[in-house]
Amino acid sequence: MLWVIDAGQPACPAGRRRRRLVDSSFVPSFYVGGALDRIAQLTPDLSARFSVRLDWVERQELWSGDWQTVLQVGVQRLEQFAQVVHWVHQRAPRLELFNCDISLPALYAYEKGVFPLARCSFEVEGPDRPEQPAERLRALAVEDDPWTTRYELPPLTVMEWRLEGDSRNPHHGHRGALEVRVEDRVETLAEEDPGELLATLARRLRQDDPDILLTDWGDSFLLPRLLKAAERARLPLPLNRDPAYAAHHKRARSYFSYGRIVFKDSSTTLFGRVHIDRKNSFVVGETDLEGLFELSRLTKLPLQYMARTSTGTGITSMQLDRALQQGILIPWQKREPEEFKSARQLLLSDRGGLVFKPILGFHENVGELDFASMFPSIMARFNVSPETINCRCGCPARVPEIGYGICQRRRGLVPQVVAPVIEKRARYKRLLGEAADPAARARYDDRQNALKWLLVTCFGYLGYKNARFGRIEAHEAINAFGREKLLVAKEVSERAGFRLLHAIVDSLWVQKRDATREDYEHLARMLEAATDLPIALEGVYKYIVFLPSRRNRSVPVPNRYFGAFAGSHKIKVRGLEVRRHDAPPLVARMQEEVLQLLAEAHDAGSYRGKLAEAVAVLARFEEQLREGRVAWEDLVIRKRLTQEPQKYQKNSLVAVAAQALEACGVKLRPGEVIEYVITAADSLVPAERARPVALLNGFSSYDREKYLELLRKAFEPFSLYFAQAPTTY
Amino acid sequence: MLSPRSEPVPASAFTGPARRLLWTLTSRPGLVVVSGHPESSRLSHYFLAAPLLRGEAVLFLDAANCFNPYRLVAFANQCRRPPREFLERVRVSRAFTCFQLAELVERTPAAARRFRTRRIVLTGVPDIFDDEELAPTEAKNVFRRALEQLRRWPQQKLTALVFSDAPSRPSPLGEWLRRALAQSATAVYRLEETPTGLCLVEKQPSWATLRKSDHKLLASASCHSEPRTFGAKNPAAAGCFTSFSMTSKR
Repeated sequence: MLWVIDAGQPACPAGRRRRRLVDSSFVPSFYVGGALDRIAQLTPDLSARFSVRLDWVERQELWSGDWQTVLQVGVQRLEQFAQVVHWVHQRAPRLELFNCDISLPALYAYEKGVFPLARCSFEVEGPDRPEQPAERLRALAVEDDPWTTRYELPPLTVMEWRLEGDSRNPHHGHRGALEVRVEDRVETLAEEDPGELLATLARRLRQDDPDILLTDWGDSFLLPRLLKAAERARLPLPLNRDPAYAAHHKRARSYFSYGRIVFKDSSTTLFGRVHIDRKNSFVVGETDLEGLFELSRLTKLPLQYMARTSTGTGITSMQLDRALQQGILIPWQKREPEEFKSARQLLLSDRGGLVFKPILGFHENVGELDFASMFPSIMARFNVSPETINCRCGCPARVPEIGYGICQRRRGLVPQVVAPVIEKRARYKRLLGEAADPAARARYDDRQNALKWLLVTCFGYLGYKNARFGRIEAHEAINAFGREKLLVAKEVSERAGFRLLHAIVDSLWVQKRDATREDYEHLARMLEAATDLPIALEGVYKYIVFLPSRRNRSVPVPNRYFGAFAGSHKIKVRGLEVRRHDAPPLVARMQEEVLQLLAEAHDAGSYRGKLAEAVAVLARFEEQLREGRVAWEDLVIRKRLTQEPQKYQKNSLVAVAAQALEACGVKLRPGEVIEYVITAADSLVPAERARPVALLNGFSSYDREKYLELLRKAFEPFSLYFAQAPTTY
Repeated sequence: MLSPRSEPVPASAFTGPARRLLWTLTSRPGLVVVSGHPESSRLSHYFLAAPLLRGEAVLFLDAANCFNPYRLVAFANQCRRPPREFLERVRVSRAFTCFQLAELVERTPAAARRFRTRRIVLTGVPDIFDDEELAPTEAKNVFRRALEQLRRWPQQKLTALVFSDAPSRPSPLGEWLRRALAQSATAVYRLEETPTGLCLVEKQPSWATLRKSDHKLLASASCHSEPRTFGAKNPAAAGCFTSFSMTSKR
């Protein structure tokens, strides 16, 4: 079933028609491979039991690239697809199944070449009234290209729902009237009379007929509660456009990912209308709706799904699409294990990116050179893909250090998918540089950012256990190439008279007395030629300060620095509170102000002068704290729960705050983020040490000494190298 | 190649009956399960000592992603052997899904022939099958297939030591898997933490059909370091090897 906006006919409430089309020509297929006689034994029963279309076809095996004969099972009734797969698997567990667990909406998109928000032309027949069964689709032609950078989006009506005030987690106690916004019209609905509230919402939904319902906390709080209230009051709430379905609810869960616990909130999705919860969407949080639209168009995943899934699933979807177009069989279960290697080989190959720890201190005139999308570029340039590494055709060793072979005969699936994404992102970056209109700039920036996330995850996914096209050897090969390229870049830079100050995986900071911007750009071109990978000059710093570990001032740590770019007051910061999500806003704001001041300095001398002004900024913040003039919103600390509140062994601040919330009936799960204010960090009574934001009242006070300590600690990096003469080149 | 009689383990490292137990476990064909400790898989490294000192190669099928080559390096240093010698003799393959492990188990006899070894260590079994993203019936099917292969190994003169971690959260599927594995094993040992160190206890639970082994040993492995330090991915942690001593308990 497709929902389309008919741009050609002015009619209906909002001036455009939303039409529901059913495409009965779609017959999803899966494939059965293995001994042909055993497959043949299955077919009579299969045809007798289900409405299926069976054909013997030739398809390509992923790992060997060989074409093999398999049975294509086309399932005529969509609702039977999973059942047929299950039946075949039960009857013949030794036979291999392919393409059998792809979601049907995605499979439809792959087969028809259509994608969300695409401009298409349709031929339809049948009823022409929305309340009647859907119209039948006779033909569909896509008149759009997912790879174009200049596309026009359909005229979407967006309705926003959020609770009045700060968008804090309502599960932790925040309450407010419901705000409904369409374009500039905002209506605030009080909750006193649920019947009236529901009636108003239903009226607004019918009247504005939004295509997208954009909410804050809609997935787990607003929509489930409203639907429950509607059920209790027996009142209609037409959240769905499609009356045949109820809203779909999926439960919350906590899981481990990359060594930390993650909380995935529940979701509520709609039919015929798109619900996006800004508070439950990584993609929208990072790249706004523009980024979501871009990803949905490229990955062919439905908007609601793309909003709630990872970008890794997005890149996998693109790989599935590509595999399907090329007749490559998509294995059901990831079975190919790692090849046996000696412990010595493992020692060599199981390593990450290369890091040269920074030379601590204040450095002037430093250039930062970054490999552009290094890992995806390695995949594209060197044909790194699960099926091309140590290929069965025995191609020679090409991976540095670890000696893995890479296939020279066929282009891998992963490089085929990644290369155009790299290219499209480069186009967006060019457009971003050229655009003068702030709206256009924001749009291009969101889109290129969305593509960046696709590229970032495509590397990690090669080593991810559940990745469909993952393989640990491919992951290791990319790291080996990365280490080699960084080493080459270091050596070339040093031969050209530059001094390496710091390097981390795909970036290096180099310095040369009196070098100009042109010199650094020339170096970038030299490195590009030497490494065969794109490299760009991120900028030339007037100065940069590489900071030590917080615990030991003599120990350098990667990625903890701040610096000011030449020719502007732009600053770059890594590893300081201003970049951390858990720092109180007050501390982050102090650092921001100080950094703005210090950005005006151009060398060690002027830095020292600006530092005196920065000290005055710190003093102002301290005074506000001492006098109790700081609003509690500026003191909030956000922390992720690593376990259930009652399981904390120590009375840490986060444990105290979580337990206080739980005592009030709030159910908290590992991975959830809670917000609290430090009230008396050293109190002998643990419960007095911190208070969750939801339980703050007019009588709550904050721990001035503790926040003063946090402020002073946050200021330390700026003055660290100026208690004595600064270290300069 | 080292012969068992000439192995250069310091006299203090292993004592009589325990040494015989380690020797037996790693030298005769069978499917031996070691479980009961939350870090059984990590502790599997200690069981590499005997075959390596005998000069044998070992296949390490790592479904717990716990293999740490630095421990072998430290072990070799303690035995005054070139680390490369031990590192080259252990062949590792990691499985990240139960499907990969099942495939690996199927390919192992051929790999054993290729690398001329009969000693196999498996970690994270059956834990890897207790995957919340997999339907229990599917997990059981794949496990049955793998188990079918594992049962054939002793007939192919292969010695398999299977290390199974004590579950942090017991589940019905996990219980079923562990029971099925124990029923197919030639011996099951429980790895226990005692005040004096680690202890290997032969299990004869009513639900498991165990063959009576001829050695009725209760062995305890005293370890001067805290067991937690075994898990550290740090060459220094391998220092535990020197203090790994075993005494018999009757």
